[in-house]
Amino acid sequence: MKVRIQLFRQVWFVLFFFILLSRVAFVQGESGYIREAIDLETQDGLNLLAIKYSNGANNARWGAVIMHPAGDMRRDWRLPYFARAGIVGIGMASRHHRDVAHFFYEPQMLDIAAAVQHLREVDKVEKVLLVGHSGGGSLMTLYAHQSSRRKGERFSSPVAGQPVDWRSLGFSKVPRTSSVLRPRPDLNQYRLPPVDLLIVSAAHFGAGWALVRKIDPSVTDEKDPTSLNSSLDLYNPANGFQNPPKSSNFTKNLTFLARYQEGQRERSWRLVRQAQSYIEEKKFYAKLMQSSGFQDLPLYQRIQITRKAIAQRYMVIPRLLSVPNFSDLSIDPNDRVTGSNSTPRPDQGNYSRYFHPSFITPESLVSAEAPSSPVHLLKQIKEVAIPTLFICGTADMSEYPSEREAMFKASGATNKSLVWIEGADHGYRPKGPKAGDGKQRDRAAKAMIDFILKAYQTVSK
Amino acid sequence: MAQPLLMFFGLLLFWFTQLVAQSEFKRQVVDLEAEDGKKLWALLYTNSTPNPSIGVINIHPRSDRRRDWRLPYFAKAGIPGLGMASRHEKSSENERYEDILLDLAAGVRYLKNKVGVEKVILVGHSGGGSLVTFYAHQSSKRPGGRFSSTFTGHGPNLNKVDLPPVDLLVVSASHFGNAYTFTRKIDPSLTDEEDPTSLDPFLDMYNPSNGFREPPKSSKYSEEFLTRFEEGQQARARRVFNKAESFFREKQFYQSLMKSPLFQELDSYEQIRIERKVISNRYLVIYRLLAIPEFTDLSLDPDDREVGANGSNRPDWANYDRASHPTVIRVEAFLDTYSPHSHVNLLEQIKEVTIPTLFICGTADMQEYPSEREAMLEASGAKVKELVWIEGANHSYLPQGPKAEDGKQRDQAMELILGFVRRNLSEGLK
Repeated sequence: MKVRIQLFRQVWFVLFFFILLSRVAFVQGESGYIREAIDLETQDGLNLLAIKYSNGANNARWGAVIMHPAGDMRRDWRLPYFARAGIVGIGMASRHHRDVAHFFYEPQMLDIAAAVQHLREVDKVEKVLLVGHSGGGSLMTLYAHQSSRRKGERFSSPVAGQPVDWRSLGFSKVPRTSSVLRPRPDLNQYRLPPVDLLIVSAAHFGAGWALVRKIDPSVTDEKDPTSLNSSLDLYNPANGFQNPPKSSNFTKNLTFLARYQEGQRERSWRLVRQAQSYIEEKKFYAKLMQSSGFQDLPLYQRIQITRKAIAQRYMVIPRLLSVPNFSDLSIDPNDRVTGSNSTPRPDQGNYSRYFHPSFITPESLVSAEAPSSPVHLLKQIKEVAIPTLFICGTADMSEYPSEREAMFKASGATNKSLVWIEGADHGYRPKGPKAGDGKQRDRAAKAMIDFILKAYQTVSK
Repeated sequence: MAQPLLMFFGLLLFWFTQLVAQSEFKRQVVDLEAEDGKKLWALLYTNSTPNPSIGVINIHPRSDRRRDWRLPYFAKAGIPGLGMASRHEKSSENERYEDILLDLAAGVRYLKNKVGVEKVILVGHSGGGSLVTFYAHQSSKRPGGRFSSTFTGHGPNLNKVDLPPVDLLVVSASHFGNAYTFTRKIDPSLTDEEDPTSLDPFLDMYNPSNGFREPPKSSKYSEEFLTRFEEGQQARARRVFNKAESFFREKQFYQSLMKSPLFQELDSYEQIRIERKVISNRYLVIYRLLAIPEFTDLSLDPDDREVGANGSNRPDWANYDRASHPTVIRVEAFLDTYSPHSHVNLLEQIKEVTIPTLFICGTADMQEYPSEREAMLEASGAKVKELVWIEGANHSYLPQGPKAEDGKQRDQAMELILGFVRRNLSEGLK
């Protein structure tokens, strides 16, 4: 009996040896980390493909989740750094990645929840942190906020409200792949496992807030992408514009910036009202469908009313690359050069490039991508108490110092820190006069990892 | 004392895990870079078969095929496979097949150079069928004989890129290409492109007085209605083409203005304003793209399908409530990819594709019909070509309709595909 037990032990030893051997081979093959494709099942039945990074040791204390509303973060540059430091990380692409037209923040909470749960259950990590970069900052802050609240105190659905009830159309179950008919989650109905630490990297306050900051108020006709009110044109030399790489000067005319910002608010809210009127119209017909006389109408009339209730419109919104700070380096100064994060010539990019939400459903505009959205980092961060790191490059061309100071100040965390990476652009690449030795990513990763590993040091055994 | 015994068990265990590994498969994330620098990532499916000599790629212009259901079957049969997502994944906004050929070429190179296979199979499902046929066609031509530019001048010059040849083609449940399908599915009853519910009831296939019955009942359209409907489809498609072309010509006008002496006399802001007319990006919004009479009238091009479209059992509503490519698209991409100016046409290109070609489709597919498959088979220029039907399989080869039976449609489909591969790339499989 004793011999048999010993034998089993040795067989296990051999098995362990083989596993170890294959692991080590992997780890060395890919410079200190391994990647694994994983399938994440969300509570509302989606199956998302993500990539998990680890050093293969299977004993990580920390797990990280990186996600962005629309960008594919599955191969984010931070993940290998984390893995080598012993932090297992999941890089994600949200359900709406590459599809801003149908974007809502609320359903994406379930995507994040699936990753957090995976880290806790499969990787058995003790602590989970979220990294929100750029537009992901407000998303991850929202998760930290919502998951810290009890059921009953969370967002119940996007502000555009619940879509047409599919039951009223005679379906017995939720129809497949329909954007209009699929219910939007009431976050009070789902598990949102809590998280332990938040990193807000080069983020703005939210997609809706950002719309007002970047929208071009000189558009006079939404149907015509070159329609122009030249007195509100940021890229008009008469208003202080100079061709990049020269810095513009929008403050020489004292009233211009005030008029400009007023115009930005006005155009943004005009779009919101337009979207709301489309939504109202659909709701009107949806209500007709619920009324008792509806079933007595002839079939074709019922069909036509149903269509009005469910028809999906798309709004095309031209010219969304007009932040004065792009061209005038004296506004909210840092170490940046002229340009936006997507192009050195925002004056041209404003006309030639896609920038979210260049086209979008009225529902998503009102709920997520316009100032009517309830998602606003400055509001939510006040009630996020977990350790929070704000980090940004000083050469970032779209994220400016004053915004970071406002976030830091608003943060409700007792353990919070604001770190600047000198000469780093939006992707933490070296840029501008302070580019220096070019090791910005190394320094950013070190700052993050130091903050993470120190955060719960006193409580750890 | 226990050492020899330990070694024995160790070896036994090793042998056993190898055996298990061979009947299983594993997935691995791989990074790809297209020749124009575009970075992509794919999933590689393998089992532990040593030195595989055949590899397979699954790709679609817009949908993510990284987890295509066929790849585990291929891997278990000893054929490593790449599941890809093209650079235009999830977005028809900028869709252009010419770009995607570079993505595909990167996949083919990866299989040949990194995995070490000698022969490559391309599987194109649905909208991927015309894509892989386009690749097979263009890669079989020498540089000089390929397309050098799209209609609007975007996209790569295919004569200047490396398109490694491929060895076998599987065209699964495909249509002939975007330009073909655009006119096939457009709803002619829309009267105002700005208004998604504008309506000419006379041309509405979801109007009971034209023969429509509410699903799941089959509709019955008259010959006369169908003729009127198809003419209406062509007329609306033409209206959209014309609109796109006029936007494009307007840009060309300003482009020529920029080259004229007049331009030099303008002040800088005037020049900027003309330049904006040239570079400005315009989107077309094209509503109601789910109106194919075969969806609802099962007597047209009959097979074993039920009423519905792929992805919806109520095409009459889906026509209104969701995007279908290309609902929102740039003018230039529309002209290059969805208009008669598109280079992609399966029926034309398949004539000059000579590698072994398998056409496969489910008999319960709700959007791909028998007559089209017969036309493909006939047009195919391959010496070895076959058309196989999977009874009771829908667009995803899942059981559907009256012939669903035992529900093993996916197994059957893969058995047929692997059989075709074995027969025609026999030297490749050990």
